[in-house]
Amino acid sequence: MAILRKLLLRALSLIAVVLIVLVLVVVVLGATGFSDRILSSVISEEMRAVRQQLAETIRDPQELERALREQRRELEAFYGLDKPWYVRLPQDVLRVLTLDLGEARTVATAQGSKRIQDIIAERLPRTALLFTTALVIYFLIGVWLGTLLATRPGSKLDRVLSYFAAVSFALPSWWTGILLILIFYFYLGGLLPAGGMYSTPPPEGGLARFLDLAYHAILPIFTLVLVATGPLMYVARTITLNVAQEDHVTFARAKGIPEGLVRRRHILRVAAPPIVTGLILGLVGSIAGSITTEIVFRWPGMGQLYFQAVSGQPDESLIVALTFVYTMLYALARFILEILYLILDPRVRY
Amino acid sequence: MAILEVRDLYLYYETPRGPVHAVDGVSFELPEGSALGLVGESGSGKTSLGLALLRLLPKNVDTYKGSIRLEGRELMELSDEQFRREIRWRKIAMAFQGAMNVLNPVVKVWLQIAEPLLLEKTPRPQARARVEELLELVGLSKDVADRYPHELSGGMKQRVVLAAALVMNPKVVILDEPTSALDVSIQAQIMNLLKRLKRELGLSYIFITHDIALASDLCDYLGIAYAGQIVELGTSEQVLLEPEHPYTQGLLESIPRLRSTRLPSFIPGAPPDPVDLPEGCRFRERCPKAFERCTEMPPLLQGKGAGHEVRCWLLAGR
Repeated sequence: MAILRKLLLRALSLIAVVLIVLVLVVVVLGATGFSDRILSSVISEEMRAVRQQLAETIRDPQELERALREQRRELEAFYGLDKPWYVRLPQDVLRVLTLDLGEARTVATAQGSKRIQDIIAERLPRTALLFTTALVIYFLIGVWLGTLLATRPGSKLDRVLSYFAAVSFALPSWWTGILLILIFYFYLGGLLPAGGMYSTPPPEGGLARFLDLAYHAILPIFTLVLVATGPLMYVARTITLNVAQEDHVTFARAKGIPEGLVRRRHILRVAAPPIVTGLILGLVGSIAGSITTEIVFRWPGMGQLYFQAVSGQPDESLIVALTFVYTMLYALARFILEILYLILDPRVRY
Repeated sequence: MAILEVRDLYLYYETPRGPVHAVDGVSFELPEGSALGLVGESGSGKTSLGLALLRLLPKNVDTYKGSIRLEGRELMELSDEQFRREIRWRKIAMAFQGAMNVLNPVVKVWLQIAEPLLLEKTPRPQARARVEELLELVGLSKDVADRYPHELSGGMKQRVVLAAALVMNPKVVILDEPTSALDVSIQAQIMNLLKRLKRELGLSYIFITHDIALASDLCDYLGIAYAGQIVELGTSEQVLLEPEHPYTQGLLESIPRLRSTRLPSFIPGAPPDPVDLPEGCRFRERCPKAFERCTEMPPLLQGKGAGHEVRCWLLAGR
């Protein structure tokens, strides 16, 4: 029961995080006048079309101006620009909280649906494909190398990989992506594609399509792995090294336990909770990197959608909806971490 | 008959500054069913000696040589794998300072005790029964078996560590400061438990401590360690009542006494740097009785009769 209460408390605090993020989005979009500017530019654009239409039917210039003013007022009421931001935006947020994500202005799915829910349903699997694959790869490599290095600290391999970890940690994913495109697309004569998800035109047949997808995913996944492996490896190394020097490991060896079991049960098992924490928090922290990676590789996933929402002709409902979805994903990851910790570390139970 | 016989045991650690003389030519005998106390300050090499006996060596070992005979069998000739399989825990067990981090925080107590049994393919229910028996032997209730270390007090953890040491019926148990982190009242309980186990199970102990008073309570023999060497060795009576080495005398004078007006006195200075040991006698810089000869040559351990040995030039003339 105590466990359930604890989990409930954590869930409540994560819900509070989601709400606070949404409040911040409202303030950032509204108080800076960004929201008002977006809407007035949208209205101005529509007014140009209306002016041309009306100019054909109404000849009298004064009459035309009056009709245009009328039209503008209607559009402003339609978009909510007649109300101040602190009235308009909270309405958007409340709507999003009821899971009604609204409609996008320009972005649409392949079928032409403008509902943001449909757009996300189309894009999220593409992003998930990229990131879960990368995650599995860098988790396996990072933990394997990290725990390996912990058995021989100060060795040549340790020193080389520690440098790599520092470099990997410092690499921005967008820069790495551009560099890799330069190498594998330009210098190596198109060995790997520069971006996109499929060739144009995409090949026929399920297997051929899948292989084409995998071919296009190599570079972005490689970028993500390159950037994320180093820090994870170093965290795993340091934590494992600390645990390996604890007294209970000597005690286990004194008991005559074979080295393999000492490593599994008495070192890795104890080091697991903090390593998992590092992994999940790193994953959450890599959201920003995921956006830039998708942009660099023109990968039509969630990150690119976010970029489309904030750049060029910004789309307010898309920004609010995507921020909501990303924050929910973050809260979900944190909650999974809480549950994992309960399973992995008995000291957390009380 | 001596169950454990150590001759000229050396353990040096390699450091960038040079080898650390942690165990520097230590010899002693441990008669079956008796307890030998190894007393010394921090850094005197007493814990290193315990680890050397179990061949639990760190990676930076420089020298590890000598002779360790258990029931007449030379242990230094065994391969690491043989040593692990046949000696560790089965013949020689070690009870570490249990109130600290000796127990794995994420594994249940019973599994930590039963681990060596389970490795020998003992069926789980049988191993479990053995653990419960041991827990009762050390004065804990059976349900401690299903707890995690963080749920236990320091005294309880120390009892668990003792139970773990006894699981394979070892002949010799090395006790490394088993009571240092405990309250005095708990300390007394553990000491009584150790005495009872020694009597009931016929165990032989090597009791490593910095507390000579505590050692005198349990041990039949005492070895005083200083800078990696044993400077005085004998029965407890010999060492406590007729201490010959100035260091032993200093240690005994530093014990506060209840019914005496005399205040405890302290040994000035600090032990020498184990990398850069002084010429001659290692204690001479702190010794009130040092004379010329002490700087010239290191004294050897000399017999004074009846097994009482002292490493001091003061005795050479007699």
